[in-house]
Amino acid sequence: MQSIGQIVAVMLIASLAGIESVLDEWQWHRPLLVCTLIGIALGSLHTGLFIGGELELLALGWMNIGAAQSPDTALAGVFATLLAVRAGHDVSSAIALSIPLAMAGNLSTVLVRSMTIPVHHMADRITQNSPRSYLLLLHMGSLLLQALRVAIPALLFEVLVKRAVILAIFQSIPLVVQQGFTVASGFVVVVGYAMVIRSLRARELMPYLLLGFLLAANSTTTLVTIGVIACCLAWLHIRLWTKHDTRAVDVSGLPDLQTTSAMKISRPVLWRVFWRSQFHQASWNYERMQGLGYAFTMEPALDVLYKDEQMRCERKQQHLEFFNTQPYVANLVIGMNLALEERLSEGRQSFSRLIQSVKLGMMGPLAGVGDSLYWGTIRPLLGSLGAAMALHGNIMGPVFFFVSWNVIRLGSRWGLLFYGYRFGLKMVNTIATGFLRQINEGAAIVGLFVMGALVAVWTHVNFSLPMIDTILSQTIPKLPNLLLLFFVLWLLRRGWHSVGIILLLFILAVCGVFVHVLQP
Amino acid sequence: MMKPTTTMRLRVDDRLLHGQVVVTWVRDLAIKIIWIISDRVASEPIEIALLQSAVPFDVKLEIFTIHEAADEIHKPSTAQSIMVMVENLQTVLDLQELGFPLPDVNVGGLRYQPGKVALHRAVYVGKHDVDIVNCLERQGVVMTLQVVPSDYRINFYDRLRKKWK
Repeated sequence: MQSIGQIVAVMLIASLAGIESVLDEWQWHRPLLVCTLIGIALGSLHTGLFIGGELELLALGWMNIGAAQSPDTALAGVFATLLAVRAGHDVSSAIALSIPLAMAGNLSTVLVRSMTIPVHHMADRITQNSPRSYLLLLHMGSLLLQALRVAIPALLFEVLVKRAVILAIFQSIPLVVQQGFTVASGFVVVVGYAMVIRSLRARELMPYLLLGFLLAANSTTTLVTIGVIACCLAWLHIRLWTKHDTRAVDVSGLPDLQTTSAMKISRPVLWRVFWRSQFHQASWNYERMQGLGYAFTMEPALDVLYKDEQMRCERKQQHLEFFNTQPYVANLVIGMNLALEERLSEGRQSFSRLIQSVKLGMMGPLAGVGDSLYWGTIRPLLGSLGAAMALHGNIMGPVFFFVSWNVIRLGSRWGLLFYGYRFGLKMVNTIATGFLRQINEGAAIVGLFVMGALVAVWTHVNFSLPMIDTILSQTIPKLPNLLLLFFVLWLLRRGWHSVGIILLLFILAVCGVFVHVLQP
Repeated sequence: MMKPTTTMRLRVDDRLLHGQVVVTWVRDLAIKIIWIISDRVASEPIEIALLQSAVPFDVKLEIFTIHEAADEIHKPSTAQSIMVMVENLQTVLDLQELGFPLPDVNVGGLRYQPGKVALHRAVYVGKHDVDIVNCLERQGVVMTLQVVPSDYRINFYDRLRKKWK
């Protein structure tokens, strides 16, 4: 029987996961962290770590890009762990059951993201005449809805569903299906790798995927070592093996681009902007996306720059317009925007138009770079390393993921904000040198290499026929894993949804067990 | 004329080249060439610089005005898939009037502006857009609404009739 303390702890963790599912900052909604926390709260750290690791690998490629929402890891993570712990540690069945929940979570977050549209309209009205700002209240209020979205189902589950019921459900699953689930949980993670590979795939870089696979399949090299080798290869590739065709555009002659900052905004105010920027996506919705978040983040600086109340209202109103980009690189736009805002506050009206075009012009291209770098490469890399450790029962897995990710995230946020502000439009010169493309290419190489290794190491296809194992060990070990990966990539390319593929693999696994080709 | 093997995609998205395009479409369709057709962008050097630096390393980006594009398409071009991106529906109509061979039109994102109506969570249209769409429908252009490849492909005209009163 669960204690009140446990229920409260689960509620809090679920709320945190719900909040993060929209913010995407600290990553508490990622399975590796949320499952571990729930596991700790329920006194089964080991189960939490294992489910967290497994689901993290499965969800490596699930990322929110613009209006395209991925399946929801927050709800899936919370419930998979609750189910597994309450039912006595049947991990693979719990994972199978959590997949439909990820889709339900997706629907509920879509609902909340639509419900916050009226909040935006309220912000429009309030900034029209009120010098006192309520942006904070509106913006953060929206966050509460996301918290409740996960916390309420978790509470209902904990209070209403008796352990006997869960056990009955698990025991009603036929043995062959249960074994099928166990088999599937060994290789269904391939969908996660495939989604990451898809977002990085460039024909000329595919050999790196194979190299990663072959190295890992034929040796006992650790994943961390493989990561380091991948970085070395990326470095060599960029420095030696590619022609320096960065296709830089020379824009240094443009007069606008000489606008740097007068540094009128003090450090404490910049820090407040930085702090607020971590809640950039709190009121994310389908109409204006990060519009309110942008105004909210800018607010401390606008309050300092504009002494005239009317003008202040006007500027806030202006920044409530549609905006969307990858949330961390948004800080570069905000920083550059602050430098321009400074000039505008000195009465240079022409800057009003420039500010708008910088915002609109930068958000798309920066999102392209930011999404593929942070969601498409860095998070899957750190997540898979952490997950591999967690699957060995090592608590350092989630800790490593959390610390390394957040160091990178906070560093990016502060660096981009500060340099954006300091150098203003001059930053465009830096961006235009083409170094972003090199980062992009290097990151893709590391990503592909490590994903290739994961296909070999953290994918398990066990045949019941010893003959197959013998043949494989004398040719290319783990070849079935690779074939499975190509199959999944092919399905993705044909427009299959990742959840559809996961369900298909579960069904195939059950069939495989039924005809005695696969075994747990 | 274009070689018959050239496959062309046309996406209407007012954020032009962003995450959804770079992470999903470009990879799924193995795009090697992107054309951005916009009179506005073609006259903004800063934006051109930003777009050029953000395009994936293995993709070639070319930016044209509407007239340039209409000329360019009739030059012998390489047999690789081109993804054409435009900012608004007006450009689609302009291109068609200039004799640009329109492929199916995919609408992937038109942001909210005051007075516009939601057709989908990523697509908002106003009166002017509706007139253009009606015009395109009369001319038999196929229009779909789809944000990313894994989304269900919606018939744009049906959706418009349902949502626009």
